[in-house]
Amino acid sequence: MAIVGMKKLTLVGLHDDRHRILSRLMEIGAVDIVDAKIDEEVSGIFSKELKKDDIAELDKKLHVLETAISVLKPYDERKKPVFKVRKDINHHDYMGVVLKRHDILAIAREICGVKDELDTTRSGINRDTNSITTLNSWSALSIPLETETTRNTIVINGMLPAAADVTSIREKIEMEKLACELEMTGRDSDQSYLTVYMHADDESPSMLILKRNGLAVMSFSGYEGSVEENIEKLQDGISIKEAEINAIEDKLREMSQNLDNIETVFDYYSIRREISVTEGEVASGKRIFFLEGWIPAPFEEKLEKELTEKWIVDVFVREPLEDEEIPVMVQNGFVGDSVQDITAMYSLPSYQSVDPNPVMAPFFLLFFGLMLSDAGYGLVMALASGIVYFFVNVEDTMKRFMKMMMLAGIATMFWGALFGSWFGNLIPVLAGDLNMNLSLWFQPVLEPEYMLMWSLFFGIIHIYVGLGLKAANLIKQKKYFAVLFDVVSWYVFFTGAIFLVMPMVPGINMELANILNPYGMNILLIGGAMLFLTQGRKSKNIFGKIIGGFAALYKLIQFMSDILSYSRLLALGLATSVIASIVNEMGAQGGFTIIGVIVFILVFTVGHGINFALNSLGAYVHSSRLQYIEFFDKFFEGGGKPFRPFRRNTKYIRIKD
Amino acid sequence: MFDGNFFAILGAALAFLLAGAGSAKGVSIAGEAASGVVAEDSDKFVSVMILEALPSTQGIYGFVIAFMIMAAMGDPGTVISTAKGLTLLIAGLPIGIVGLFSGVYQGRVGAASIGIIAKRSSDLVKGIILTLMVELFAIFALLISILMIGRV
Repeated sequence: MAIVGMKKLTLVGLHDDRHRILSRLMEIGAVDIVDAKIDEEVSGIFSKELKKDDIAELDKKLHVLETAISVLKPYDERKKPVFKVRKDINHHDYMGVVLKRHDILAIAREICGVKDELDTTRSGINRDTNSITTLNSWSALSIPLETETTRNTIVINGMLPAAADVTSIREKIEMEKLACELEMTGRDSDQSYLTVYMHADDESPSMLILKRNGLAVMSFSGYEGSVEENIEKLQDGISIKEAEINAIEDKLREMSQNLDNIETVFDYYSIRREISVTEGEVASGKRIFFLEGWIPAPFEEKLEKELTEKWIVDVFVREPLEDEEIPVMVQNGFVGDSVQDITAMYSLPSYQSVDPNPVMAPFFLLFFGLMLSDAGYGLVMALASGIVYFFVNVEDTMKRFMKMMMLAGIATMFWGALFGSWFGNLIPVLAGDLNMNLSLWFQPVLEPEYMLMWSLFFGIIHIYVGLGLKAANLIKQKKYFAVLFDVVSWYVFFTGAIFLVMPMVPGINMELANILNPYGMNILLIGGAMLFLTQGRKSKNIFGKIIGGFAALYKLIQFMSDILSYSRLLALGLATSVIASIVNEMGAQGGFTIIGVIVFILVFTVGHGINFALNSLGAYVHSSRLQYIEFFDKFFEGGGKPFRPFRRNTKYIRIKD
Repeated sequence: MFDGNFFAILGAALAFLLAGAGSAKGVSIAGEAASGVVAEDSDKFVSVMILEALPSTQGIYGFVIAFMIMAAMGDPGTVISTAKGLTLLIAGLPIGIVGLFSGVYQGRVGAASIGIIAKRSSDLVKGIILTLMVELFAIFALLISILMIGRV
């Protein structure tokens, strides 16, 4: 199916039906509504108004609901599913909740209030704990904390840096004959804690000396009584606050039963917001309105029929114009669909190009399998993801991912069986015959050079197919001459180069290489000449043409390095099977005794678990990379704008009619 | 004492020591950046974990080569010739040395790519591609080491 054809839809209807028509379009979810273009001749009749105030109001409500949801989530004690999935709700129940929306919004506001209360109490505890830490440093202080002055004496508390020498300060004070006494009440690694008694007349000279030595005055304003009394008071305060927190948390736990309703109301308001935003894109007149949007060609007739039957509307559908930015929707068969998210992570194909997914899918899956290349791992992977795919209720994206994993698992089994690797060499180890050969084709561990040759060969096929897709793109865009210049000549050129280097590839069939090799130079020259003459054709002056031609020849080097890049197929595959074999042999060292068997099972599970996790991740990213860099580079025209139909973009629920 | 076995074991040790150290350093560089991102937004855990794991492959490659060198020495008890031992030692060096450097540098690119995730989590693929660019050289080193062992 590839990229779905789009048509531009213009719908004219009565103003009174506008809201209902939009709601219905949302339920159908097949139209990507765009900002309506009001032509100059009708600009007096139609206008667009975006109700900013309404949207801001809705945003406020959504914010309250979202905060309430995030507060309640940790207190929701129901069991959560492994895969996040939106809850199904039937239309009747949904409407029931929507009718109560004002009450539910009030509850959400209350929850936000409770959350503030919780935060205040928590920060109160923090403050008190800090105060206790400070007071603990002063635990030896004998006087009440509020003591500051008596009739002639000034009392201050303060800290000196640990480096300050109290004895020398005392000496200095003595030398100046000041009535000032220092009392050390404690010290730790950072500071000494002092109480200073001074006569009021000597205050400023004494303070000068002390400040010079780094005294930081500590004020206990607000405290009364001894240090112990205050610590006790604070501790009592903390236990009261902790009790309060427990009470609040109990309340939140109880309130968490509203979570489902709050989520439903959140989605209700987000649907309303979506409608409000879209209404701003619709052109409205006094009696009628019109809207514009994209519709996938297969839906066109059905939609037109339904709308004209229900309401007084006019529906115009036309083919897209050349200069319009047409949204892209890809649709493929069972296998092609599975990798569409991998392509989309790179970029969506442009509307004018062909969809690479159906062609890329087998390569992605087979390369994945080749790099994991163990039938045991593939079996586990295919089974686990197959179970999720067929039996667990998951969102569409996750479902596609599981399908991809299942297919990749099957591909892994395929290669694993060809190479005779079932959990590494598990069967030979158990049978006690390490030379046993289970492979249906050959064992890459024993013949790495042969495998290297095949890896490079798979790479050549991949790249040639990529060039083929470039031809498909050009044909779709009706540039037939470019197919000859930009695709066929590359084929000729690359093929010549391959023939030329064939005898240098390790593990190759020398007879074949020797037959093909002599033709290499000639083919290379023909291809080179074709490229040299055609690649500069887009530049205007003669120098541009020549440089363009040379630059194209330089691409040969890139082609060669692209091919070498496929050697990772061998490297990652070998890494998996060698580590798997090490795990088996390590596990089997205990022999066939009770302890030996237990050790074997432990080593087997942990070792193969780690090996599988690391190498499947490696296979996934490297297989993606081969598509992105080596394959897409040859033909891909990205930058497609995704098709975003106007529909219920809900976060928590799925409404079933 | 400096018989063939000694050199071969030295080669296996170097292959793993250097490549493993490179991976450890690389993963730790990326891991520090990853922890910073997770501290801000724990939803990005999976994305940054993938990037953090990428420089761990050098260690795996070193492990594979160390094992293949030991396998090439034949059954335990056999003493291989000094020439063969030295050749195996040399065959272990590509993955060892390239693994050390590429591991560290890949970790640095990984950490920078984790910076991309911190700003835009949708750009994971771009980060992976950038980080994998360094990987290619470790793969080549692994291949060269494998092919060299095959020639012994």
